[in-house]
Amino acid sequence: MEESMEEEEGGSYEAMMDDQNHNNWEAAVDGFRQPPPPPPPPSSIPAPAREPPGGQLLAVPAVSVDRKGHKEGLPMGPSPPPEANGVIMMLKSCDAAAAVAKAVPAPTPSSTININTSTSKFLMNVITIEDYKSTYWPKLDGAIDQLLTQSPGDYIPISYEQIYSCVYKCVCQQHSEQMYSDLIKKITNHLERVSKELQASPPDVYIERFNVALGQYMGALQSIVPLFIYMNKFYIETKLNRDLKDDLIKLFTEHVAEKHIYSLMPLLLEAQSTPFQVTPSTMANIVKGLYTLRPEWVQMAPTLFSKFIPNILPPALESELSEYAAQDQKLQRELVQNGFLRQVVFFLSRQNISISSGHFGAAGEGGQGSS
Amino acid sequence: MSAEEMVQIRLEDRCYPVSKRKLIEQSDYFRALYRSGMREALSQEAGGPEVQQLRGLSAPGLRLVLDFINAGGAREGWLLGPRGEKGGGAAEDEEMDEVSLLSELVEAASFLQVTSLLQLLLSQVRLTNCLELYRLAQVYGLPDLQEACLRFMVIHFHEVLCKPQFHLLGSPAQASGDVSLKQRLREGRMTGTPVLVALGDFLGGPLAPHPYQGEPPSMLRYEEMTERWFPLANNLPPDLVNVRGYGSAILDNYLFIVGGYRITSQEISAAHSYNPSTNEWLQVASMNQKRSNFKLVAVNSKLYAIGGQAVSNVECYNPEQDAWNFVAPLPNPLAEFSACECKGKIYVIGGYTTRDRNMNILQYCPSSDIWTLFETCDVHIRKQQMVSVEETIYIVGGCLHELGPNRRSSQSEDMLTVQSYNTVTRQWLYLKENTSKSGLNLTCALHNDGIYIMSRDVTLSTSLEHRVFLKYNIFSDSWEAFRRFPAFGHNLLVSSLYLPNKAET
Repeated sequence: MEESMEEEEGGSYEAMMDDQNHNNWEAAVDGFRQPPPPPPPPSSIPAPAREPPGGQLLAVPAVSVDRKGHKEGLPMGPSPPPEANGVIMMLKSCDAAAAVAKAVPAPTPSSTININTSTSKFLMNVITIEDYKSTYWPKLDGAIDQLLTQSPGDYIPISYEQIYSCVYKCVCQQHSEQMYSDLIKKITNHLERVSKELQASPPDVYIERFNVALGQYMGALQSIVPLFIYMNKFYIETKLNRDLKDDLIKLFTEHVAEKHIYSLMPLLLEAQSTPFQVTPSTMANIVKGLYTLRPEWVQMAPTLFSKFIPNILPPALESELSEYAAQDQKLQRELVQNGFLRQVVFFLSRQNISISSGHFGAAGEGGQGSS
Repeated sequence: MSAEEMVQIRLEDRCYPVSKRKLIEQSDYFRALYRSGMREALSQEAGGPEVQQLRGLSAPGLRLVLDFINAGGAREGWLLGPRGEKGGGAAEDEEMDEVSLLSELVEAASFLQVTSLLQLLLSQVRLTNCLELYRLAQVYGLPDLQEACLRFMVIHFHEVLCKPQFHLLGSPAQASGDVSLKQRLREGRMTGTPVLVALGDFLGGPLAPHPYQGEPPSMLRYEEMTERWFPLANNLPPDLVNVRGYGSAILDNYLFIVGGYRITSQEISAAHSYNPSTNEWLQVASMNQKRSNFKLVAVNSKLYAIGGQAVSNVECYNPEQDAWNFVAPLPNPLAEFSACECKGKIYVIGGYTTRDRNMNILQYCPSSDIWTLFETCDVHIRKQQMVSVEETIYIVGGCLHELGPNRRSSQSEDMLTVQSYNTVTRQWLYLKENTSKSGLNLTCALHNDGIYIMSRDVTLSTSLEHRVFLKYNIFSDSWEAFRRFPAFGHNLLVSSLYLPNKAET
């Protein structure tokens, strides 16, 4: 019941959630349920947009205006103004229009859409960019923080409905662009921090920490993406032609995985050959995770990947053996060029996965040749 | 059947039971909620909520959406609201009720992301709800619905334009740089295929160049590739059959037929418009003045009915109000004159005043509502037709009579000629003549690169009537004759309209 909805473990969090708008909705229910202002009466009165004669700004060629007086023929003169009745009617209708305009709250300059006639309780209160920055984003910011830092499987005390409503309101009030950029910025900052922490990790816990970071982030996305589906559907998909989940996964690839792949891969290869150095499930998680982030990374260690991901390697054909060898050499060269020659030498000399020492020799030469 | 798991949705003080399976199927909100792992996603035993609380939505809107979800989504014949469309006579209150219910429905469907319901709205756009749906689509970011509303409003432009709500929605609140809705719709009207359309009291019978079943059609379209005329699916409204001396003009791709006289009775003031997008005729507000043999000219999104038989007054039709209002009158009543729009002004040339030949070119400026004597000509012309391209007015046909000493002689006064008058340089050019044809009694329209002309020609010696259908190419200054005249008939009008592309079959 109501109580169960309102009780809240994280007290500070709930305090943030208790925003002015929620309160306003409840208080203002009756006040705001009135129908939109009636339109001015039809046809009998000219509509408010009617311009008085002469009021139109026409692009009049200067020539024809200038010549008006030059010709001998006198201008035939302005006609009498439209009948008095017409003018009065026009004024009346202008008043009516002004009255209508007064009856509804003035739109904010930032809002491009006239939502004056809305009966919606959500949209009754205009959210200015200042409101967004001072009230709405901090709320989202706090929720995202919590989601990013909790462990997968933890009980999440956040109310989906409240955060979703907050996103929804911001989208409807034209703050999608700002919100999207804030979200990306926030997550980028978070991931850069994660990456730095990883960099500082000693090699013996490096794989495990990477696994935790990956798992935690992917777990957080399970909640963050659903919270932002309204923005995804009505802004990211339609205006940017992208997808929020893809974007957020890409952020991890760019800010974490890419920066660590060349340290991680040799360690993984090593660990794989040393029984019980890392648990098989950690290995599986990381390999599957890396494959999700960037399928091309399979090429760095095809055999390792093929152990956890079915059917990524085509059935080997004897006729293509030399081609496989060439591919391996190319990868080795890339690794070498990326400054991991020593590690590669070290690890590969202890590996027997898919790369023979003969191949490595070729790769070493290639690396020297190009440098 | 095993009992379905039900979810209680709570809004304000009421609970609404809904099948959880259907909820997850239809609502992206609930699908994501149950996937999010957040508080509400847990089962009751695991500390989850007893009810799914919603806030901020309206109860009627939510109820409609939940009914839709409980019914298992889209079904055949689903109609928005209890009435669907019920013609124009609906009471204003009822319309407002429908409008507010609609906004509550769209909000609930948007919030809960019931995509199939939002999709269904695309086929529910009506004259009574298009403006509201358009606004809602903007608010809730529903581009498909917005497109559907725009398409609908383009098709029914004038009917939408004169709705009072249009002006509330339309203009000033839009951000600068945004094209106004009116402008977008107006541009939307100018799409499709430009097609020559002929109207008239066509005679059927064996002489008609194409066989018709039953009644001969009164509206034909010309297919340029095959040089053939085809009946349009619609005909002139009965009111307009046998009306002569009417004024016609095209405004926002509506063909207006206004005023005129019936052979049997007197002048009329009624006005009709043909909308090619719907292939329908609409009766619009009648003029204040009954008039015939006058000119109807479209300028700056308005129509001007100029003069008429013994009439000097001028009135202006604004489609935004669907009303005619008198503006500055002509200095004199004119007969057998012509008029056209050119660069936002109206030019009146030729004909007779009550006493004399009219040698003056009159110019009307709509923004200042003033008639001005623009220039006096040397040549008298009457019964001509006029069209304009940029600052050039083309004067087609009519009966020329040169005054003064240097008049050309031995020249048939009513041959088919094309002249041009440049309103900037004030230069007359005698472009082309076709001595074998009469320049009286013709109808013409600017279409593509030329002026298409239809004329009834009477050879005096035989008093046989034959018909001419030709084109004056304004770029190459040449004639091109076509074989196919639409049909034998009278009271012919040719005009160029954009027809919807699907009609091109």
